[in-house]
Amino acid sequence: MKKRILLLMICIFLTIIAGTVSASDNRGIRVLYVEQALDLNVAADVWNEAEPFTIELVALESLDHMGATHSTDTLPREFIRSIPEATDFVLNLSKAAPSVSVKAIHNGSKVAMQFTWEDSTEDKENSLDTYRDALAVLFPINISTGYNPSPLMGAKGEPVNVWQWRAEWQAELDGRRDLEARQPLTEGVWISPVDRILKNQHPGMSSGLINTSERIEYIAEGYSTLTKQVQQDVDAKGRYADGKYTVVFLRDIERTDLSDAEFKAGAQTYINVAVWNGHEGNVDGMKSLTFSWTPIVFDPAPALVKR
Amino acid sequence: MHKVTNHNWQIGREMKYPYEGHRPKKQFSAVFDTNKCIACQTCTLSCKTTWTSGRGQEYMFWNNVETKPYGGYPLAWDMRVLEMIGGGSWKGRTYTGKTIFEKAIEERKDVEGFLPDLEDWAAPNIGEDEVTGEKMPQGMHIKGFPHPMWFFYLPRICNHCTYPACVASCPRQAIYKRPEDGIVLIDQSRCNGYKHCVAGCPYKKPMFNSTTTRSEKCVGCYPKVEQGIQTQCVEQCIGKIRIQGWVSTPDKAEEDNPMDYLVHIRKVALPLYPQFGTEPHVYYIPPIHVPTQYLKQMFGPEVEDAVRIYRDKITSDPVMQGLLILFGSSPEIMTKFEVKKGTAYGYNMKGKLVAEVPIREPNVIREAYDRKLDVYRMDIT
Repeated sequence: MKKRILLLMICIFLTIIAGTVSASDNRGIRVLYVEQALDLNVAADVWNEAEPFTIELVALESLDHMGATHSTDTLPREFIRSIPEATDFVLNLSKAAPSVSVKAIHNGSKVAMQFTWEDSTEDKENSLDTYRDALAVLFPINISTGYNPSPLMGAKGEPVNVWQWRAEWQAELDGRRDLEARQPLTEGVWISPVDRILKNQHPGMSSGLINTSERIEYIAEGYSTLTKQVQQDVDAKGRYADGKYTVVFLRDIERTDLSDAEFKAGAQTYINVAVWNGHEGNVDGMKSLTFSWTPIVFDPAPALVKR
Repeated sequence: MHKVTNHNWQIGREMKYPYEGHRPKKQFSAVFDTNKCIACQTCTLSCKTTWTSGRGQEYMFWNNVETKPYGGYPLAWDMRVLEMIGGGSWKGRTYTGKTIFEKAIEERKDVEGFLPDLEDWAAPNIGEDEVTGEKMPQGMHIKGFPHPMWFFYLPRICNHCTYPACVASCPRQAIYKRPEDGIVLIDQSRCNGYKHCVAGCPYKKPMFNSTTTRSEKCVGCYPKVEQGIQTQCVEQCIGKIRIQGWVSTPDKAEEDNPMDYLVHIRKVALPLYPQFGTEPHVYYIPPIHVPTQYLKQMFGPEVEDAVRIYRDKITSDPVMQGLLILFGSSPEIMTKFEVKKGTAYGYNMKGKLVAEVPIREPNVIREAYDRKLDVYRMDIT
């Protein structure tokens, strides 16, 4: 409990400092105004115009992790037993954590954010004993110049909006799922012709039961409260190439429901980023993230008219 | 990781659990008679065709029947958990070792458990019919109990525990225990596929569906149970080894409730690995041909008495005989039973008579020559 209060106080202190950053200060992410239509293309030329901002992440060790069969660098058990009982998680500063390069652009009506980070393996199967790679970003629900909610999943009465992209449902959308990784002894397993018939009857429909478009946007008010939103307003696309992931999120600047983060051209809000490395057994609270908000400042739009 | 003190009657003491226990109005429970199980797997298939015939569920057996001592689905599930909690001993009816929750406090976890590898799920029938015990020289015959060479079948479903390890493991509270009947369910709309429940449950009954990326488990056939009908695996059991009903806490045991009679009054049906600390509600009549030294680890210290009652005392106990005959005699859940004059009567939740079974089947002799039809019978002995 004490540790959490201390952490919260540090965060509040940092956000007060951060609140004084202005648009031209390079301690924050600049959302560049561009005059073109935006889409989910991770490699579009328009991204070359934006300046990248690097966020260094820290590895979070969730002490409760029981499935880390493939994890490296986990804390030794003797050390874990010596940690005070009330602690939920531990920052492991000696564990390698990725840094995320962020670019953001908007055209007055839509905003697109691109995140790039290094991961030596592409882990796109969330199966019986494997975990997958993912990225999540967090925003306070409302733009405020006073206190912000905790950047660690918010707090009761201080909600945050979470967007999460996952490698396994990107693989589902792209038709790249790996049956053998998902079921034991499935090499050469016979798949009924019904499967092909149904796929022909419903082209483009995901073969799994994952409703792939509905799992990006969440709201949270503290640990264990993460709830996916009924109305999903964000789209995402990710790609793995040359040892790096690149993910783009796309949303209207003006929010359509009050569970979504408030963005405004010319205004500043804050963002926090978390990355999961499936190969390391990252899942749930076991991830890499930053403990303080990063300012994100929208360029003013020349004419405040929705296109 | 904050733990609340709760009372677990199966280990005879208080223990720590992450939440305050609330006992449901009725607790889903079942009794399996291992002396009658022949591992025909009808129960397994009835559950599979009902619930786990979809994509991603191909490897799942919410009900499974494994051979003991060498079998286990997933592989060595019980041995691995026992190893993690470090064995443990009993002092009378009180367990003096550590439960999975108490061991977890030491390890700074919510629940002490492990996530099985993919291959561990690949051989549900491993060790089937493999014997253990002494060498049997040629010409030797088995004279009594226990047998020098033995194995037995252990049918298993989710135990719908009072202190479920799966509920304790889930960081998102996506698993809940129903207050009306104690059935434990995973909320598919809230599950995010972290698999903490799969790792946490010592009985390994939550299973991860990699197609839907959510975990699933035995649902206690709640649509049937809500209508007062026994679960698929219980109803379809050919050997009539199973009965399902509502068990009370020991202080509220009722003599005419089939579950209470077997579990609390006669104490012939015992929980599975009570030392894990979850207070499971599938009770087993232990196999009387197996040395009790082995059975103690699996069913607790009262197994010797249970074996003795079932093996020796049953011939002079018409009430228990009658109750055992009621297994598999009606699809409906029987909440009351009575045995009168050699016949067992089972009543459903509404008090209606749904089963009437004679303990001794009436003997009917058919004449070789049928006078009425003027024909000789060829099919009599």
